[in-house]
Amino acid sequence: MPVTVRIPVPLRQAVEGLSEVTLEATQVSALLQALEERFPALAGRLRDGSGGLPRFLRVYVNGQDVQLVRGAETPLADGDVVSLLPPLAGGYT
Amino acid sequence: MNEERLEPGLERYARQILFSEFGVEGQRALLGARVVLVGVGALGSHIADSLVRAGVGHLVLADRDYIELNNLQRQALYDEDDIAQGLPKAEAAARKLRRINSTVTVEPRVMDVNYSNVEALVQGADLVLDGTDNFEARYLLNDVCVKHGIPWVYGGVLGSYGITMTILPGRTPCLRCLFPEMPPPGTTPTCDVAGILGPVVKIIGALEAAEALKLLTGRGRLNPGLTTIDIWQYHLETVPVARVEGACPTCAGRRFDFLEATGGTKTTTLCGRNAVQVVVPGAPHLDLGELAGRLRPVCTELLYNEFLLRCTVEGYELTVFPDARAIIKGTQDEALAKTLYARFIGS
Ligand SMILES: [Zn+2]
Repeated sequence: MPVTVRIPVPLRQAVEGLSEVTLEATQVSALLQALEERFPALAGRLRDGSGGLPRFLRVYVNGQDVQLVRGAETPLADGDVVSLLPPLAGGYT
Repeated sequence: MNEERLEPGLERYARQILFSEFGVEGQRALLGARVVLVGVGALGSHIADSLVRAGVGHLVLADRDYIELNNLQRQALYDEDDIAQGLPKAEAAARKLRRINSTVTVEPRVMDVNYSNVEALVQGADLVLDGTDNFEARYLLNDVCVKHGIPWVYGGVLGSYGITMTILPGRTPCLRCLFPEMPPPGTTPTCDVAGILGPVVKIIGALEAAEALKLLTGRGRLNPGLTTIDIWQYHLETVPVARVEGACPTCAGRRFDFLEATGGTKTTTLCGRNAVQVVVPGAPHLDLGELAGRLRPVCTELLYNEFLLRCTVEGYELTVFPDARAIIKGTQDEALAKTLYARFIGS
């Protein structure tokens, strides 16, 4: 099941500058794990110690917050678009 | 509406009054409002410019920093002359803004906004706007605004990317509903490596200013979620923010961790600056003239005015403010900065 992941600017350096990545996954947790395996620089930024969603990242599937679905267990279907939203420290004063 | 028919003092706002949903009533609401803007750097200078031109009656500008040459690429309001005069951002911004609109009150506050002073700073504010550059400051603003029921607008920019969210305490999710914890240090890109494009700063600043116009007049439709923009990929999106009932430590638990912090001397590495700020909350005010006399024998390139004192010692540039705060440039080592502070400024 190919799923498209939109990579926001704050995470882009860890994924060789890509703004989108396509991966096979049937569940959010598996998708995040696959992303971390493909891009080791993402380690610790997508999952907490027990493999769940970290408290500093929001994950959306087709614009829907997965916290309102089944969190890390939210199922994925062919063609889904997943957006990752980390907080932004900058402000660049 | 003809300008001639407007009462005196409102003519300069004729074009926005003409926008019927804003109108004279909206203008009066704006003129009666008190807004606190924290941080007058890139985002903040654009926000301040918009609000003063629009006629926000009382704008407080809080900023801890002074102006450097590389700020001019993206920061409105400042120029080379401000740098030559050694002006702090809040003061330089206020001077410029008063020339733009002398009929509103602009109140500069040269200060590090922290747990010891933020409640006094926002007291009586109708709205707080985010022009800061770090997580701690935003969580602190979130704490104080949720605690006192003051609406605030979160905004941040990095590279080609910007993010903003409007927070109405008790009615919409807060920053800790969105991100209950800060990411571990070192896992988010800093200003040093990510750079910044000027236009995204203006967009996020403009969105924050637009939210302010609506919030202060009670009209229009506010940003309903979390907005992200990537001007390089041309991606604009607003997504809803889910709030798990009772889960937020701040708005459900009424726990204000960042506001309830305590402790003595606080050091902060400044983003992209090779500099460390040293703050001593509650310290008595410094007499910069007296300090200049003390430092003159040991330092070079001494400059001081009523707002700050600057000099170079042992290869480090010290900038000291009357609130006993210092920015030590030439290091990112917080322990070293503390030592330099103790040796040259006071313990
Ligand atoms: Zn909350």
